[in-house]
Amino acid sequence: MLSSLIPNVIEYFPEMLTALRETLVMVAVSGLFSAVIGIPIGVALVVTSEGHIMANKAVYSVLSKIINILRSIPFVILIAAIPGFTRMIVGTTIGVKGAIVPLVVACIPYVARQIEIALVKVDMGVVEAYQSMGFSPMQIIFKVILVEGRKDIVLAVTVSIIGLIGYSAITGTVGGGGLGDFAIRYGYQYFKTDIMVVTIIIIVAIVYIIQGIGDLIYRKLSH
Amino acid sequence: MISLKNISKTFHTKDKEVKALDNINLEVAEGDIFGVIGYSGAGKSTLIRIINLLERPDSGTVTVNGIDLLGIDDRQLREVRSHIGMIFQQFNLMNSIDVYKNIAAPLKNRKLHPKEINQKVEELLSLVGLSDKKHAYPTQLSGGQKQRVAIARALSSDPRILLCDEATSALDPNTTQSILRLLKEIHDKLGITIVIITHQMEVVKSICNRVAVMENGKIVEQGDIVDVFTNPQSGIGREFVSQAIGSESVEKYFGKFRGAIYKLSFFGEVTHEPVLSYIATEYKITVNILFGNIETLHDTVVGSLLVELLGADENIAAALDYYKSLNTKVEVIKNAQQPYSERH
Repeated sequence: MLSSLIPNVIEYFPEMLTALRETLVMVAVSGLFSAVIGIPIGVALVVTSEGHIMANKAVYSVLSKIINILRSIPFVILIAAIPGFTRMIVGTTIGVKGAIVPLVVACIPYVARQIEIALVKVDMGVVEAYQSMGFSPMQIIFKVILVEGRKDIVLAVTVSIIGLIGYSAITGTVGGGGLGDFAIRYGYQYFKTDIMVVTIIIIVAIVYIIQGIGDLIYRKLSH
Repeated sequence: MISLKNISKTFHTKDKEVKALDNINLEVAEGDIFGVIGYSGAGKSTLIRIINLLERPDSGTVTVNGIDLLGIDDRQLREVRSHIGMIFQQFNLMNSIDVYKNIAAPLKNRKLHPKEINQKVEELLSLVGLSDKKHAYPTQLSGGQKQRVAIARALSSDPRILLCDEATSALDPNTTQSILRLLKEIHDKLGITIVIITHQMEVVKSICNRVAVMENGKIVEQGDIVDVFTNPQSGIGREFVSQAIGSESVEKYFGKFRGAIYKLSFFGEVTHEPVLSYIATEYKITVNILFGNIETLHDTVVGSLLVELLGADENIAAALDYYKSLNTKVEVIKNAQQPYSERH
């Protein structure tokens, strides 16, 4: 019965699994790098902003401008604009490896802004209370801001990962592989509608699962 | 213990300058419970934040425990701060961790042994009466309980000074009193010096031994609580006092009385004597009581009476002399509208 309903999906099932694996690898690896680099930048944005514990107009405005510029470049153009950089880092511009570099470059500023938005919510009164107890700026970042903001960091990272799934589909069209590439090639170019539909369902499912995990952790951390 | 000299601070906003503190001089002695009272915008919050340099003054000197805070580096300042506790109007607890961890955080930061931390936190919890709330989260607590946690947290570093920035302003009257009792208890038990910023005279008169009144960035008067309370020198000081004793509402109607109105302040033993009926019979004076109140200020009982005295001028003068001989403060609030002889 399945073979009559989604014949092409069954025929190309191994390819689909490969594409799924590629997408998961792209999202996981670039998500990890984006978080590791983007979170500290987001923290830096918050603490250097006006009136905060390490207020520094120059640092804040430079960081903020770089982020704005990177975020205003459409992702397809970004991929096409930095192949030299991509090759320098991973040695190739195609495949999963070649996709990860532009994904990370695009996602870092996104994560940084999301983290900034999450952490400005941390009450300055609380920060001040710990300053009054003699906490150093670093102690305030690690023991107060990141602890108080952790549930919002979880949401920010969740949103960023979901954004990455969308971006990862775009890299597919320029040789990155993954579910996006699979859906475009078989579903769109070969008019195999069942492949298109099933791929979309899989992507929606992934998004739901990631959002669900994010919400679950958020609730666990909320009191 | 705390000495502020010639402190000025101006805030610059886009289109104007606000002089928050204007040449402030303040001395807080060891063991004081020092109240600073003023309306919002008077600069008192800036003032208390100057004491631990959360706010840096434009000019002047800040000396705490003999250390010139403006002359030391950040690291030394943090060391000084760790021995000055502070509590706030909005409590400023970390909502993501429980009560125990909130109180333990500053102890952990000092790298104490976990056993020591545990013992200390238990002690503090029992001091503030929250032993049963150890594992509750701040959002599960009432305002008064949150402030108790904040007090425990502030005391965890064994500070010699506790700064209270409008610590009871977000609390209802009963809770305010219970927090004030706790502060007094801590003061008596630990000998800690307390500075309280407030707009409620209620707070000052309950526990402070000394008070400064602030208006427009200036200290308009300061001194012993009993002196300021019974004999306020500044307009705003008088306002706070009449609000506190509750005479404010009758003062509006003073114009309607034809006789002279006096404020009599009695201290200590005299408050127990029937001094009004004595002058009524002895000097043949008709006493019209407009307002009466007995307060306990710090450790002194103070009685306040607003009276209209009707009688012969020389009798009234004699009665007032009698009061003065009893160590009673006499203040003329309003003179008689016409001499006694013309009225009869």
